[in-house]
Amino acid sequence: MTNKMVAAVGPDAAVGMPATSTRPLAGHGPSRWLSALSGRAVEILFLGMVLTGFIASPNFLTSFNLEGLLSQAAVLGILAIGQYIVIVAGGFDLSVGAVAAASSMVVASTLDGMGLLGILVAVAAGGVLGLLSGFAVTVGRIPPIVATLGVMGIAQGVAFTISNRGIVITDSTFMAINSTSFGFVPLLFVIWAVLVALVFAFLRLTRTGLYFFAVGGNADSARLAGVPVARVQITAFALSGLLAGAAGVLFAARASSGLPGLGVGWELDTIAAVVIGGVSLYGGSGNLVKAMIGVLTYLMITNVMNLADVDSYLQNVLKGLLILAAVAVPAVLLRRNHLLGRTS
Amino acid sequence: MTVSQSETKPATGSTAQPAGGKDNRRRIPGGAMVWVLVLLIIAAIVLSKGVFIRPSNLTTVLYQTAVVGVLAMAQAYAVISKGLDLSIGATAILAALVIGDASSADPQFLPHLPLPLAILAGLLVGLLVGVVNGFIAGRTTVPPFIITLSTYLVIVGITFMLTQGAPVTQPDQLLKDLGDARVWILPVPVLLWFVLIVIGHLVLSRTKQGAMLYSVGGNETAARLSGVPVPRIKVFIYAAAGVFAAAAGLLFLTRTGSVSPSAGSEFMLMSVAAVVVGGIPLSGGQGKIRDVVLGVLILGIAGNLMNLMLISPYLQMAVQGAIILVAVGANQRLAQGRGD
Repeated sequence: MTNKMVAAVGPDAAVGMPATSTRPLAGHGPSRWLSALSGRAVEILFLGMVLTGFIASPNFLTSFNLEGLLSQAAVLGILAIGQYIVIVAGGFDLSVGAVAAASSMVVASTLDGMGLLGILVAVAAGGVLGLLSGFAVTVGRIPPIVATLGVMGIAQGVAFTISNRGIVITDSTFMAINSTSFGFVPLLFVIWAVLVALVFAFLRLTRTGLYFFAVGGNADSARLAGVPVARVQITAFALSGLLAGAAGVLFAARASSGLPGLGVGWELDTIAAVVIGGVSLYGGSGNLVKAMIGVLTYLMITNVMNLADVDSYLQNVLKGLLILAAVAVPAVLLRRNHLLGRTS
Repeated sequence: MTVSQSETKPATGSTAQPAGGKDNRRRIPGGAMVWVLVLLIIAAIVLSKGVFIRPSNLTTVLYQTAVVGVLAMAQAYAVISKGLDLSIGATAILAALVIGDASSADPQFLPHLPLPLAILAGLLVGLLVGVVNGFIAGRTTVPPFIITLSTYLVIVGITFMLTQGAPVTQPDQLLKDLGDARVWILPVPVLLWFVLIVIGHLVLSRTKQGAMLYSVGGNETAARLSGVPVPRIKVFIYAAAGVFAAAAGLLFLTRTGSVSPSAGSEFMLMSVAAVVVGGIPLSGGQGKIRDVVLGVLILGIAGNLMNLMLISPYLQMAVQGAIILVAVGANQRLAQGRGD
């Protein structure tokens, strides 16, 4: 009994489906086994995808494929960090893709005049758009989905107004961001990993970081407990905007151009990836590292299917079914252990 | 069962505020949006120097908003039940493709069907998608957002597998004729939209299922404890949304006369935008079809006005975004609600 309870107190107690995985139900062997697994859905799925990729194609474990996969994961992953922060704080950010597009356009159009300072301008532009979402949610009292939908429109407008066609980047120093790599580990991946480490430390080790979980768990109780709810929410959206700005810059380096139509559907991709990683859509819980494994898993689904020559149309079908299964199986197990009394 | 009925019926049946939610005193958004619409219409008349108010332009506005209008109604069913349906846009396009292909003289991927049967097949596609969504939503704790995101991906995949990416360009001629036909000055698609508004409204306000939908959206646990068969109501909710979505696909087909599998990518977000601009809270349990119509008209008129003023389509995106922020923000203020 005691050893099972220990798990519930650790930091992972805040992970997506902890109710079953960390609390003892009864002495039944099989159900305990299932419960233990249900908290590990993303790890299982991740390993499953690696194994499938390994079996499906000899090209999966080549450095060429891994490098591509990791660079791709870096861009989506950095967007997903922002999405994770916002979701944990109890919101959604539908603007991440459009903000990245705007940022890619800003960096592409400023590199010539300002040099690498353009990177900072682009990231800051993302931050400003994020702040706008934050103020709309707190001061304007607009639900996050709606507020960020509005900012998405504004960001797209900005991107297309800069130019309705892509802007090609020729700056070779800037392009080095994409071409540099250490073995099969691209610099983009390293940037992602550093950002994950920073945000993880911020959320887990600082008081402000813990506030995010408190606000997402129950904004009213948090307010009553003295948490500056509005400030936390504004910070969450601003961080998401900054990260989306950074992702836009990295994408521009990858594509060697700024693209105004970039990022359509990325908001859903990031949300799906984060949810596969076990983050609760209702806010207040979720582990950043697991969310990032969710990003890798999500991208591997496509990667493995590409390598295995699965018809591109069929890929959508399979992807949809996999996402559903990844979330539904733990949820069904949760429901089976309904006696625990804690629902959703 | 009888208990739940007597509890929820008066709340939604009355013409006063439908307080499916917890707080009866809370002023329901909607009143404020009427004024937003009125101001917008006045602004449109002034800024367009009267062009806006011409009957031909007014019919154009209605003609262009009909499809999103029906989709937004489907979305409203999900939102009022505290859910969200990301699959309706894709469902509409799949239904339109099914109707168009099956009714065409030379179908590419379906057997030829007479037009009424083809339409029925399209509506059945919507029903099927909705039943699947609702079944999963009712039996698991997976958030509707994820369920419908998954079915959205599956539908898009199926759509492209069926059509191999090719558009359906030769639906039954009668469909095109219907799209061009007018009763008095109203195009048939607009009339169909009006009919669907009435149906959507009556189902929500006059049926047992409608009342239960509000109670599920207001407080699911309370609804279950008072005897509402929550899983079955969820099937009903998403099935209704699916059928409305398929009907929107039919309207789209009559209006355009052809449909490409990649069309309608903006439908899903537009439907959510219309619902929230109409003042329906995403927290569930509240909202009327009247609100949806308001939201759709506000977005439609704003778009039309910008077209009349020759504002670049790119800038229009930004303005649309700003309108969503301002309209919903103003509404929240006026409604004196407490945040989300």
